[in-house]
Amino acid sequence: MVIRLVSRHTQETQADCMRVLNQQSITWERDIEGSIVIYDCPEGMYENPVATGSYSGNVIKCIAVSKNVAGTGLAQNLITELVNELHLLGRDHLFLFTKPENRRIFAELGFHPIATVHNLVTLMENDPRGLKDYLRSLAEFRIGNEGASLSSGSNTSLPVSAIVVNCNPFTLGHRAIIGQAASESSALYVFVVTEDSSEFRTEDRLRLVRLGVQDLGNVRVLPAGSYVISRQTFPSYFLKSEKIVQESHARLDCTIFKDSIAPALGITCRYIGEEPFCPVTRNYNEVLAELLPLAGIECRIIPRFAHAGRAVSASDVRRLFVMGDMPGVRALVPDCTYDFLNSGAADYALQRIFGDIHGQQAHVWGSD
Amino acid sequence: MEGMKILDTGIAGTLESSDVMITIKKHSGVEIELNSIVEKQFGRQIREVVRQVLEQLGVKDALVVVQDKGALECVLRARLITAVYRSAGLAEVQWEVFA
Repeated sequence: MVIRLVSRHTQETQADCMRVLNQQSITWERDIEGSIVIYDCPEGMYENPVATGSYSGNVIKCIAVSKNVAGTGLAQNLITELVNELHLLGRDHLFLFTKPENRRIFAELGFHPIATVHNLVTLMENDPRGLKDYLRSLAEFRIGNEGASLSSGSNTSLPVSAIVVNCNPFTLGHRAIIGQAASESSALYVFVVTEDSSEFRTEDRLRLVRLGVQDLGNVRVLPAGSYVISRQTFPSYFLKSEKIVQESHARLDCTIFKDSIAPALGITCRYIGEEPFCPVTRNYNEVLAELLPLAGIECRIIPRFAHAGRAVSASDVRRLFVMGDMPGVRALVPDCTYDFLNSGAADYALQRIFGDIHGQQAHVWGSD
Repeated sequence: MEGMKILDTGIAGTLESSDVMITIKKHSGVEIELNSIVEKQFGRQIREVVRQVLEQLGVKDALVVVQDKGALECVLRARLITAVYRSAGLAEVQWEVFA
């Protein structure tokens, strides 16, 4: 057996991986950065690939071992090599995608299940406390933990709600949705996606949402982290993937939300912004609307907030901003966002927005 | 000797049969997460060895994740010492501590 580390793929190395993956009907994913390939051949050559596992960021995926060498422990070699390689890259909290039937193999190699979508996919992590620590960190945001902190006008018959937003950047549309959700809920948790793949930095997006809703007493804004619409739970949200992959990731993200996050905060209702444009988000919304009610979580869809007859979208704000049309921006965003965009501190985003408008960005977060 | 400080995540070992993979991370206090194929038979003993080695090295704060595939005690010690040194950013092992 020859173990080969591929940190940059060529057509030939990718073909080797795909040969093994095809046997297990696993598709190659385009965001793969590197792989381990094991060949069943004499030292000094690379022939007859029999096992492979790949990584993207801190996610291990596309793992396959040929049937004729199954049971010889090649999975342990793959994981040992991948863990060491990723450690050298400074990535220690690792996530792993696999088929549900292979859960046990990876459990014996130090991975703990986070969530499973029946017959489709299991997400695991190598940190035995990853999800637990995350849920504990959420509990610190829990409204009501500080004792009787809810305003006297609060109505406990109203649901405890959640909404997930990207806010790239925060617009009057976001503000309207959050305002409406807050008025219909006893408490509202606003999860801001923390994946840094948007034009505006996570810290800025988060800060603007916090500033923009600080007058709402029953709202808490929190960073979504690794377990809500992240490259770990929902990689296909950030790239063009096949429908089946997207569907299973959407279900996985939804499963983590209903089984782990909602119980940690006592969430009984999730708000979703209507999605007229982006097919990935629309499919995600459909999955939420289908699965959450089965778990006793209500799903409320709010139509887009319109200005001058047109749904307010963050992508319009970005376009106007890059064109220098500040009066146009002014009409679509709250003061905090306007001040930020107008201050020069947001100019770093110009280049990225420009690149996205003129390049072919895989998935520009539709809307948000 | 002065206690060793865990500065970074350190890894040593493999997941192959008869070996053990150790991961050490920053933490407050000492905690051990053990996952072993022989946990029922040797779990207590493995934890004991881990605590003893950490004590010898003066490590007071660490989360030690032990993924054991049936390693002998000498292997466990060697992997753990290596992982601690790596996470402390030191290359030269002071073997006399263990004499």
